Amino acid sequence: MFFAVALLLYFPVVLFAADATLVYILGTVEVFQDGTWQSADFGEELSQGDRVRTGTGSTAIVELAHAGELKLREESEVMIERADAGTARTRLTVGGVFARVRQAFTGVFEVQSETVVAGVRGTEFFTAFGRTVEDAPDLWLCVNSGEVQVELIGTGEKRTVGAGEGINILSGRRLTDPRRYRWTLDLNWNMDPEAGPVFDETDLDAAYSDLLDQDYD
Amino acid sequence: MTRCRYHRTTVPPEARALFAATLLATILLAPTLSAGEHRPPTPSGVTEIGGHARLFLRDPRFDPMLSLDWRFEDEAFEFRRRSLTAGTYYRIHDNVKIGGFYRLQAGMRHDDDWVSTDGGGFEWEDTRERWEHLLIADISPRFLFDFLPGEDWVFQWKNRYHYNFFNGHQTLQTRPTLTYFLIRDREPLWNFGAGWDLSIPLNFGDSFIYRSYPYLHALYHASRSVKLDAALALESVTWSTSRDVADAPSHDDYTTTYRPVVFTLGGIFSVDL
Repeated sequence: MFFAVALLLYFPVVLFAADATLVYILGTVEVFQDGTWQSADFGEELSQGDRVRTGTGSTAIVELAHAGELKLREESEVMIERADAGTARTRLTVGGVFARVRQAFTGVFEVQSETVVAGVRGTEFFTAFGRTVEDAPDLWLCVNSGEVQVELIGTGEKRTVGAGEGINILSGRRLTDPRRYRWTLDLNWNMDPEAGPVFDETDLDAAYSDLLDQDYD
Repeated sequence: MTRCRYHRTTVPPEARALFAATLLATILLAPTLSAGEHRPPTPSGVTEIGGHARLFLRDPRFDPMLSLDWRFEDEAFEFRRRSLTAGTYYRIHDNVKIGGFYRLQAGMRHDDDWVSTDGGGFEWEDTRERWEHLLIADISPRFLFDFLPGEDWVFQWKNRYHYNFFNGHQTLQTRPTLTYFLIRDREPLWNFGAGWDLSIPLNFGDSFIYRSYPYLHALYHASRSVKLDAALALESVTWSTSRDVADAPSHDDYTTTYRPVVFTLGGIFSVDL
């Protein structure tokens, strides 16, 4: 049973055309083009249908022209579904990704996965697959600034996730209440290599209750 | 005439039997009663009720804690024991936490609080307003027992060293516990556990185990910041010869065990730092 997940950021006016470019590479980063996986190069341009994946200990930043940036965590994969002047749409298939939408961009910014639809009304958010506790993986979504409206396609159920909050979409089908999670404080939102490390070392297992960290007396 | 007087002073057979039984019981029990007078009473079937309110501040590594504990004790349900504990845990390893705490307590009874009275007997000293200071060091390894049915089991072995500045008593408290976490939406909803708390006196008393406290425990996660818990325990406290009894040459040394049933209710509050 599949739903579509889209993290949507809507703006009324299209100002710029958008192309995708790999602007930062750390470790093993590959691009799927013309039916094969190839080592990615710094500055490599990506077009619709291209996929990017990162290996263990690796990270990559994809600039979606004037729309914003995506930072792939290690062991992650995204597909560039559309990157033009009015729409920047990517699909997350594995791992996690940070997304930052530029203030000046007024088009549609989407990050999709397979389970839920979420409309993003903010400028910086993170989404990643979590544990597979039931039959499908959880999907985490955290907002650093602005807000995100998450909607289940199947039921139309919605939640608004505010800045500093996170939400776990259980097995991609059940929404939890947004709230502050301590583990999100460890997320590395930086996408500027000159400003410091961009690699995100956050342990997503920390997103789940640690039964070994329970004390009552 | 004589015969008539004889009949008037005759004791009925039932009364004679009662008198004989009483005399026999007195003779048989007299040594016991005499010996028991210098020992603390250990009534059976006593239920005591305890309570606590605790605040945890949650940091990734440090977990500062403030705990208020109290108990209504004895047959008289006397509000006597209460304590304030403050300190912190520190997670030095995924499977090990250490902790250091200070405790202020009153109403505690120690062996030597069984004191002689002016009448030659013995009684518990009133310690309700006697405040004691303790330092506590804690090390608590814990392991996920996910091989058990339901997977969400944790075994914890809590170990605490207590130093009581009032009387210099040193105690080693050790407590293995096994807890099952009932998880809903990836978060604990209920805990059900069993544990056995043992206090080993290191420099006092005549018994290896001073206090035994096997218990069953349930905890409800009302929210992420509020938890309510209840426990039922079969406590055994072994009293050893007090100083006053030892100083009285007419009395033998003793160890005697008091076994109340203890029901505890509490609230646990936590705040993320």
